[in-house]
Amino acid sequence: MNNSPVVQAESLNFSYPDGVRALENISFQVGKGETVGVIGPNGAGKSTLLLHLNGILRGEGTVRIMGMEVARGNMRRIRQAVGLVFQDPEDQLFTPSVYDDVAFGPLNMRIPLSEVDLRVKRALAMVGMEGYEARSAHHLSVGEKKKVSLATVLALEPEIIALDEPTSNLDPGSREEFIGCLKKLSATKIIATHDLELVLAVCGRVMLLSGGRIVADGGVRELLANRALMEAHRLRVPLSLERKRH
Amino acid sequence: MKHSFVDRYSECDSPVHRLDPRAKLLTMVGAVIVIVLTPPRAYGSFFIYACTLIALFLLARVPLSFALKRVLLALPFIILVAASIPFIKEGEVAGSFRRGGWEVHVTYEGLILLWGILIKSSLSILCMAALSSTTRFDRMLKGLESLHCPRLFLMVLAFMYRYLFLLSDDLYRMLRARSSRGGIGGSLIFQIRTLAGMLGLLFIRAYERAERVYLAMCSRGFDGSIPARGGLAFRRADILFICCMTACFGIGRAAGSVW
Repeated sequence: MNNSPVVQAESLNFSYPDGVRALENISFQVGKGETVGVIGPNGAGKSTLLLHLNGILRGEGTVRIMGMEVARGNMRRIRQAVGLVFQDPEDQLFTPSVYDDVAFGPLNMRIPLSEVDLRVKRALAMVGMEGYEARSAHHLSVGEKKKVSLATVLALEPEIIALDEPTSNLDPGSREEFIGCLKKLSATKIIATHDLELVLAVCGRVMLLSGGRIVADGGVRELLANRALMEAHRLRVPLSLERKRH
Repeated sequence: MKHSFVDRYSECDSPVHRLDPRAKLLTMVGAVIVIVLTPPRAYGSFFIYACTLIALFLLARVPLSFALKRVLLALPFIILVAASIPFIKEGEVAGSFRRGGWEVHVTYEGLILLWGILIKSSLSILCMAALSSTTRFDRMLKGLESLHCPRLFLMVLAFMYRYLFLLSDDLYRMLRARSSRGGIGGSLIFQIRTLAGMLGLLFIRAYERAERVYLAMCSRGFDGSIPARGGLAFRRADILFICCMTACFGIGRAAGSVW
């Protein structure tokens, strides 16, 4: 692991317009190439935190991506550097064809058309969806939609990929395939999820968010096996860790 | 949920499917204009137009029954609008009947006009069915874009195509949830109130979806301007297609004055 952090958040605070305090004094760093799981109960602020990484939401405090402060002036570079995969692929895939969806980001970055073509091909190949360019999203299965959603972000060649509940609504087979895709990616990954087995499978570090605060931050196995901590925050020790103990 | 898509067969492969969308768009819009400008008594013209379109469907390997269904779907609306014409149009009386104190006349001119409206609208719908069932929607939008259609308008079309089905899914799920909790019961006012609530909810869901989609767009660098795409090329087959269709419809139009 490289010691130069690619994500730095310092005393981040955020309240929604209706007054709900979603993030409270969040500070953390993520090193290059790290895979960090963000876990926590419903409404803990996981999605809100992800939306801060590419400046969609901006609270008090600072977020730095690759040393650049997230601010109005460098939004295009920030959004190229941080790829955000939304929970519902129906939100992420909004054009009539898979090709157009994957090409959307690179086109916005004003990348030449020939290069866009290459990037679309490469991104679809990375998630094993070659040959789906002409298909429209409503003809795809949920698993395929999730993979194409990931490809739409990969086409931007981001240094950091943030995923919100990547395995929700997937059948076990599609889930395994998706985890396989994630493992192949060399980018820094930040994954907000309830799927603790996913965290065990791909993450090297985990942050427990509860009530908008970081309650714990550490190694995956120690943290997930801490029954008292997990149950205090409406989480459970994953079965695969329980079994090993018996 | 599965839908019977408006553009079923558009993802098939045939010589017609492979044509440049612009070639198909221009010829089909041209064909509609020719059809509309043909006098209703030019029976020969309509016959040749119909034959040309049927040949096009056969060449595209799109079942004729599908095309005819499109026509049948639209016909009731056209009849609703046009049904009164034979009774209103003045001219030579073809027949009249009396009911109570009312006397109603049907005129030859009115009947001819009605026939003209029915055949012209049916053929025009066939043209549009030929276009939409042989052209993928994204290619169609690309074609429109390179014909200088405003990009904002195209984007609205693209969103409509993508989210219409999702919205109807939402509605069906709500209706199903209502049915499974007792279905249609209670007073009329209660039913109307439930329905109004569902429509409101549908609107709010669509609104929230729109916000999330916008965030997803921003996350991929969308800044309000819509980048151009391009990537269409006219080939010899496209020019051949335009020439053939122009010839067929030209001959059809001329045939009207002979027969």
